[in-house]
Amino acid sequence: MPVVNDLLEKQLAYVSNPKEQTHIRALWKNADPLMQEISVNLIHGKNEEVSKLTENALAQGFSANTILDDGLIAGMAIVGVKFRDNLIFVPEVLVAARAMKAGMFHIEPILSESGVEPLGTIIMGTVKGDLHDIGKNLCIMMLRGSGFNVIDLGVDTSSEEFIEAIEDNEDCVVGMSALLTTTMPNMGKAIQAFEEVELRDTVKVMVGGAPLTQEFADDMGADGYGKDAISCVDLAKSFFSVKKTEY
Amino acid sequence: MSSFNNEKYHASIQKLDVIFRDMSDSINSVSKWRCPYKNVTNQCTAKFRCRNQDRTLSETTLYACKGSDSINYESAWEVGTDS
Repeated sequence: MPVVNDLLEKQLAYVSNPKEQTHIRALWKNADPLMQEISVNLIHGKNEEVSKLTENALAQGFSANTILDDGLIAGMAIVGVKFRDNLIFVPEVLVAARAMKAGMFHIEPILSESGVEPLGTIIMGTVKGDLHDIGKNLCIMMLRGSGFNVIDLGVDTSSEEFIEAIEDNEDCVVGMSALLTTTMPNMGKAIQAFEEVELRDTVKVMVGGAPLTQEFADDMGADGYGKDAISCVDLAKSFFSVKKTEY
Repeated sequence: MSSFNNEKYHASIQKLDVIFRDMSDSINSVSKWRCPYKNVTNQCTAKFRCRNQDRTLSETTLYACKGSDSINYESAWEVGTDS
């Protein structure tokens, strides 16, 4: 079925490269109009709509695979192109990711019932005294997209909050973010607090944020440093594969 | 229960990974010249105070960003919450 949704057709017009347009248009080659509607609403960041439409699609008997591919991921492909071409910016990408999460909320129980386990659990937070959340939120978007279960502790996260989350989630990885040079040392303080309560050996700690360097991460005793959102995903994957061989 | 194919799911995750890797490259380049909190309509989405927030206009829920993209935006970020 070709693209029949006018709003989706409008979005496709933003893909200016003809070859790319053909490639992206093919994502909806076999897509039902309902999938096209899910994509459009995801592109517009309408999380409640995406949630309702996904629920509706599952009730109508569409498979979770179809919804994921023809609805959610196809929509995210357009978001990616618009972002690359500076037609939208980070806040719009995050709003689209929130809409994707709203759809995934209905799909995740099916994954679980089908034996698909999360790659692991990651606890993410911006450290105490720091309110800058955009880097953390981008990491979370990409970690969830890769199949991790992410617990978001938000901003201004105290060592105690991290510790509580570690205690509640066996075999997790902790990701800490800081954007200010004044709050960066709080990452080291949190790691020290993990040592004090004898939890340090039970978790891998990864850190990131614009002012950080590998050297600073090493000095404070972190297990890894992610220079950007996708490095954070690669680090998390490496930690979990290391753990699997350790056990 | 809706039917589900594990192999297809893993292929989907791979597709999403490619999209996100491209996005990560775009983030790295865009953040060199534009504040990541500034949305497409040049409004500030930050939940903290920033000297580039135009607080003279209150008709919208988000402040307009009056910052220039030609200078480093991070120096305008403040520590306090947006309250």
